[in-house]
Amino acid sequence: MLTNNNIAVTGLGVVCSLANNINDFWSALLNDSCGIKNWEDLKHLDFKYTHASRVENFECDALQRGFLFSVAAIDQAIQQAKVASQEKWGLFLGTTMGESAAFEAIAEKNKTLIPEDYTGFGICKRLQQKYPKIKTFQCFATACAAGNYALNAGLDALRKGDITIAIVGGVDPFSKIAMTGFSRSRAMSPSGICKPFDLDRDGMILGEGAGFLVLEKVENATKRNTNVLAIINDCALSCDAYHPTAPKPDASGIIDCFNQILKNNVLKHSKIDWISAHGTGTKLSDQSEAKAISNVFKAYKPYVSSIKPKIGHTLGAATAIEAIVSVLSIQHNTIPHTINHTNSEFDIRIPKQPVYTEVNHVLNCGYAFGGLNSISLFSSWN
Amino acid sequence: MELNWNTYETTGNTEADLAKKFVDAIHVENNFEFYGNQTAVCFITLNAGTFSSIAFWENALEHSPRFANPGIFPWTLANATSGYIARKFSITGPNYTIIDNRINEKQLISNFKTDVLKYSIKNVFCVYWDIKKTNKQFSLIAKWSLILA
Repeated sequence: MLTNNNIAVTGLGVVCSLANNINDFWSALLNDSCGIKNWEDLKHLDFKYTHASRVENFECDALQRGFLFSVAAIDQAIQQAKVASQEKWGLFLGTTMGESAAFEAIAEKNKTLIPEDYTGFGICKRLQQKYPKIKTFQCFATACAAGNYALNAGLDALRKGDITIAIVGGVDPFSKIAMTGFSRSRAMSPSGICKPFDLDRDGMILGEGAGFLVLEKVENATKRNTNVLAIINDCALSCDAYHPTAPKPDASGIIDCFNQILKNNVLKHSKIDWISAHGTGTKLSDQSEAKAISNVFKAYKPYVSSIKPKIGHTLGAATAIEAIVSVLSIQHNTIPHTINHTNSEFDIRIPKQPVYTEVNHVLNCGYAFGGLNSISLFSSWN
Repeated sequence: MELNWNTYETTGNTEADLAKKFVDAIHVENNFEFYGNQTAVCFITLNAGTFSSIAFWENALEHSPRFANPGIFPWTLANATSGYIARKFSITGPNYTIIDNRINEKQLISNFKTDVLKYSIKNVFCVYWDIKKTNKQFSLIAKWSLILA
């Protein structure tokens, strides 16, 4: 361990296609519900693939959808954490594209907008106005690993004592640009069914959403008499430096992250109860991830599952929402299953039903275009 | 610790062009040593990816989303350039893309110190990237610095 300063997770908030609050979200993860649908509007726009996982019943200005998702998730998280007024907040946001609808509107020439106002920086500025206790913020545009990058920065700022409360999360509203791009990259599922690690998997489904966590030092939470839901120990980062979009075939970057996090935190392999996988359902990404897991976990095989068949790939929000699921898994001693999984291609242990077992250590994985690899570690407290 | 910043300016037709010209110039003009997973990249930008995002959706509107030019898509991501830098210099350490309108030296140095402890980092290649678009031409002002352990 780099430091003895344990960092607690004391609040959680989520917005995604399954639910707009933590309790409903957790229930939906444990049953067979799925937020993926076929969308007529996408058909009319001449998209080749028209399945997506979008948030319904959330009417808002399309240009502020990311900001408003964030507000909805942050409000839940700070309410649960019962954050005191004298605390010094820092905001750490991960996003892939920010308010993608603004870039689409500029291209459609139906609005005069300044693009920079709609990046993740713009979202952070608006969040700072909404929550004046935010003294400092950082925005990471590290694609589908952005949530873990934000977690890493929040963890570091708390340990250094720069802030007392870290509001950490990720957001990406639905993006027609991403929908087009993943389709043209042949990453989308023609069947509309996301099947991570399955022999018959045929691609990913795009999602949207936001996930935010409140982090603080355990001693701060204890002093405030706030529940410690779990602790976040560490986050490991690496880069493949191999290809703009494809993962490195030998998975060495991911393997480095696994080894680094186990070594730095003095954890035996057998102590890992669950790997919350990136599990997009694409041929190459799943192959590379499974290869890394098999390589690192040889004698002992932890459970591995992905929630993307339920909520789609929420891009910059993905590792933040999956961090929330990691915490919930520890809180409830339950490992969510992977739906749509029938024929395993890899030698990894994928639960087809929720697993009710003691959960003490969870690894939360996210990989991204640009060759980014990221893994965060969550543990039970007491 | 104070950082020495160098400036590089160029123009190009796409964000991919700008990244290539920048990396080529760094290759030619400098004799840097990078150390694989013991080097990090820290790329700071307010607008990388935004122009490609707009261009990609314009292309999709012109040709239909079914036939949009897939080559533009990776450059819609703000971290495309930092990934390109990593590939060209074989840098496999942490690769940060921070969206900001300024260079926060104090933050960069603080992050570097953490990464020295955590990853035994020997140096960090820091790049501040500011793109302007006039008509169909892009101009780039890049500032770069190397933080050494």
